[in-house]
Amino acid sequence: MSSRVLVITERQDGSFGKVTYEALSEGRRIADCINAEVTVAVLGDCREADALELEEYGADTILLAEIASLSSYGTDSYVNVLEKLAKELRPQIILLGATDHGKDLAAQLSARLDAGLAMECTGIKLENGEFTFTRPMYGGKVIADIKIKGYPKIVAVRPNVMKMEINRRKAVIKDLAVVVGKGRTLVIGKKVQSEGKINLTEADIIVSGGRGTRGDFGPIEALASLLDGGVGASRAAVDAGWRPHNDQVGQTGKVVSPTLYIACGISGAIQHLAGMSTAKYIVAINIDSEAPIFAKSDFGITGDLFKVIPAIVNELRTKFPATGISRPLCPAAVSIALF
Amino acid sequence: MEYADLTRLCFRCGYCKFSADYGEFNCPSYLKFGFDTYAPGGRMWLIKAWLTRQIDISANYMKILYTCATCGNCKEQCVMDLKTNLLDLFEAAKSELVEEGAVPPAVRDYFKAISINGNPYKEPQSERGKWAEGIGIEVFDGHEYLFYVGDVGSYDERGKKMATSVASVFVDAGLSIGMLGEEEISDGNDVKALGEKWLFQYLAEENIKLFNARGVKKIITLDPHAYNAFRVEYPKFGGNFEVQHYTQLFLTLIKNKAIHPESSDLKVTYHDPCYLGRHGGVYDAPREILKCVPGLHFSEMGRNGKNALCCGGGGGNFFTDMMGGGEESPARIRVREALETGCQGLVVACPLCAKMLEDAVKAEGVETRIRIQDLAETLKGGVER
Amino acid sequence: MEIVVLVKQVPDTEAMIQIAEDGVSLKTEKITWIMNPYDEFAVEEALRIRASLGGRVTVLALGPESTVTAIRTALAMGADKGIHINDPAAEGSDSLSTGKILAAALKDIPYDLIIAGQRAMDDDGYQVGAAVAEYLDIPQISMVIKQEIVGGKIICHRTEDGALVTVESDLPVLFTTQRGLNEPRYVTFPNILKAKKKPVEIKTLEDLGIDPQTVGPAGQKVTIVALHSPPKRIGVRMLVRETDQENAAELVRILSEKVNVSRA
Repeated sequence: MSSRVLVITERQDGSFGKVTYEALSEGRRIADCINAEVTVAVLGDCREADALELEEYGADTILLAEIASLSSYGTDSYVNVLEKLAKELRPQIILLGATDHGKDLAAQLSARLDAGLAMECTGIKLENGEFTFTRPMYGGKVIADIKIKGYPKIVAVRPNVMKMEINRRKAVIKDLAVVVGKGRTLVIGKKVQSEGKINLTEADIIVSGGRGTRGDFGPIEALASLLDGGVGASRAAVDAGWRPHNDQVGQTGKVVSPTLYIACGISGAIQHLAGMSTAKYIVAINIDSEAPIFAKSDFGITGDLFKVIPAIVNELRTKFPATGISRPLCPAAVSIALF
Repeated sequence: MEYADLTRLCFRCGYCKFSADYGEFNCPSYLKFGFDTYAPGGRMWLIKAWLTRQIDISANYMKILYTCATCGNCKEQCVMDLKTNLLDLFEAAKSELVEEGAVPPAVRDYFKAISINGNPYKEPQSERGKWAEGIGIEVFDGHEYLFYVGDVGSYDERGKKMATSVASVFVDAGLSIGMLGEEEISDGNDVKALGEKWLFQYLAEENIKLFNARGVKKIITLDPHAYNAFRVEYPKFGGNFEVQHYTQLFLTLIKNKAIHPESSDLKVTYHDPCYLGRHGGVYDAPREILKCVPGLHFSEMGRNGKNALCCGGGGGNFFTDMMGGGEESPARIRVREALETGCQGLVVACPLCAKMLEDAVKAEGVETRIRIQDLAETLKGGVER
Repeated sequence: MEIVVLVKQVPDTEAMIQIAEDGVSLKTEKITWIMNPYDEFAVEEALRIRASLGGRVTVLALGPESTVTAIRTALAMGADKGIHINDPAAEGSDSLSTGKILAAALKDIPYDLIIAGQRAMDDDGYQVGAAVAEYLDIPQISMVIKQEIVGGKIICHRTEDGALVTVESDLPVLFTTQRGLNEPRYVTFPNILKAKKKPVEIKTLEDLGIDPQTVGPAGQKVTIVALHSPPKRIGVRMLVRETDQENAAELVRILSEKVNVSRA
């Protein structure tokens, strides 16, 4: 019996979310270690041509279930399809992205298959034929190494962590015959949040502005948009009427815990720090080298945010151009291309 | 509800929201919001309406009660006997809300942070004495005085600066004074002001136990809020200590020539903190201190002493921000009032006032025209530029 | 309406979290225990549903003796009764086992609706709610930010990756909470003590017909083999190149090694 890694993709607005490529890259790396095949299940609205993108990142087999009705029944229908698939393919590992959708799916699938789950996995190691999965606990204050007994082992990878890696091959595309059946829950509406606003408390990347913006949040918004992050504000900015209270990060605003928090023109009063000090990486940009925020940051730049942020935006656009929706570049690919 | 009968004594004269000469409004929340319910008389009648079941608890009702800065201007201005327990009545009404669990989220979070983490910032206890690093003040161990710093002085970056500058003066004076550092817990003044009398009682009892166990007899507080709690409330729980605010001790030290104010040619004015002035009755000591600074030019603001305009940080507002900012926030009005004196320095004696007014200076965009400095900084020639 | 709320007592993560000598658990001396914040939303929502539709709110918790505080807090908030599964053999149960135990208890509790926190702030697993629903063979709807019950149906609005998705289902259902669902009421400490008057049933694994070998350490599918502290912030590294462009380049280089800053 050949080993198999099953990767479950996620479609967001007609394209694969970044985390899908991350999960697939990780799946490819695992498969290469255990001499396995990578099968990717694409459930939902995806044409064959788009599904073939997955070849870039190491898919051997692509199972395409182009069923619009899947999304109308919510989690149930996905889980029913995946349960059947998992029982047929008997993969060693099932990978998917720990997005809200993915977390929901993974949890229910784990119980359905009675399979152990590593939720929000940030790293996978293979030693002496045994897998160890790393994941955060206690709000990120503790990193746990866990082992999962039995198969399949379900891994929901934390977004923005696993390296995307180009690993081009010729994939076989098959239609996945599924009978969706009637789910117990019915999706009766879906509304993308106004202006694509990201819920700060669950956002992974946040760019925040304070008094130093003098009311012009243009650079902040540009940087946030480029990083797919949310826009936050200090109390000073909200007080001055530049941003709504909803955007306020701090003791009397929102408490956030992103992977990356970029504080621009924010002095770093304790009231603000109380709202973001648990961020994994904190970057501060401030014209005042004595600003208290620097003491609580990982990286800092003293300078005018109206000059520094555009420089960062420019650098990001150059190093990581969006060449259209389907083919993102990753750091590894860039260095390969240059050298 | 305690003091409920007082609500029948108010006949809406409206004096409570004015300054002493009735020339200006002097109630911080009324200045900010403009609605009568945000003035003491209005709050009184709202509470009466709730007591007589004409209105139910609502988000609005909570907001109105919780935006009171407990500054005490109304107590000064009210002409009826109910003035004595006016703020107690508001506190009792808040306690009713607390009992029900019906408090605004910011107020709830303040209570929870204090009870679970011991301070409003959810910072670890171990960080509490860090402000003292390098200052040379010892951990309290049988010293003559305990220097009690409080939550803001221990954790807030502006508060820590004040704690440091005040403690430095004590150390330079060779005073026998120690601080609790890691062992210090919240005094609870603002917890009580927000109506959580049960949590306050717990804090008071714990503090009294701690102080007695350490043999504390004399306490010097950084924060007028703690000054109020220790002096007025703690005796009700059996805690009897000699309590002074740091300004009172400074004056003594100056008179005894233990400290020598450096000369300064700054023009300054002084902002009376509500819990030192109106609540504490201490108006002269800070002014006497300023008179002892050679060369210092002092002028009063329009509203001073008993008539001072609150910075808006009292009543827990410093932590809950129920009052909010904006052009008509009391702190910004106060800064504009200070600017009218033509002074370069606005002297404060409370870490909450310091931050509220400093933020207001920035919001007004007048950083180059006026600086906030505490009394200790003024003794050393003014705040570092 | 019969509403059951699942609650868990967890360490307050704002406090010092230190790893014990055994390397797989936490030092317990300095821990402050609190009701899982996402469970507070659950209790509050249950109370609001009871206020508008009538019924009873039962709180169900699995945990050691100290869990009683979380149960009493829920009772002080207004829940009617508590059920505490307290059995040392259940300690060390992973998410699936926890789900099994809770589901077993729920078989004997009448419910129209079960509400749970989306995750517990200790294991951050996100799984127990879904597991319980699966074992009870009822639908689960996660990360609900608003709900309405009309007739025998529930309409849930859930946050899903930047979108608000509306899901409808017949009752009974289990839904998990999302921050923003409500603002939980405050409870004073005396009221928590007063809640001792409300009934709390204690159950063991035997009462639930669960074989200890299938849960606890023996029943683990997922085992913690090591706990580490994440790298502490070592102090800021200021980027001090000559120009903004150079600093920007340096920053992007550093960040791209730590976070995927590329775009899809």
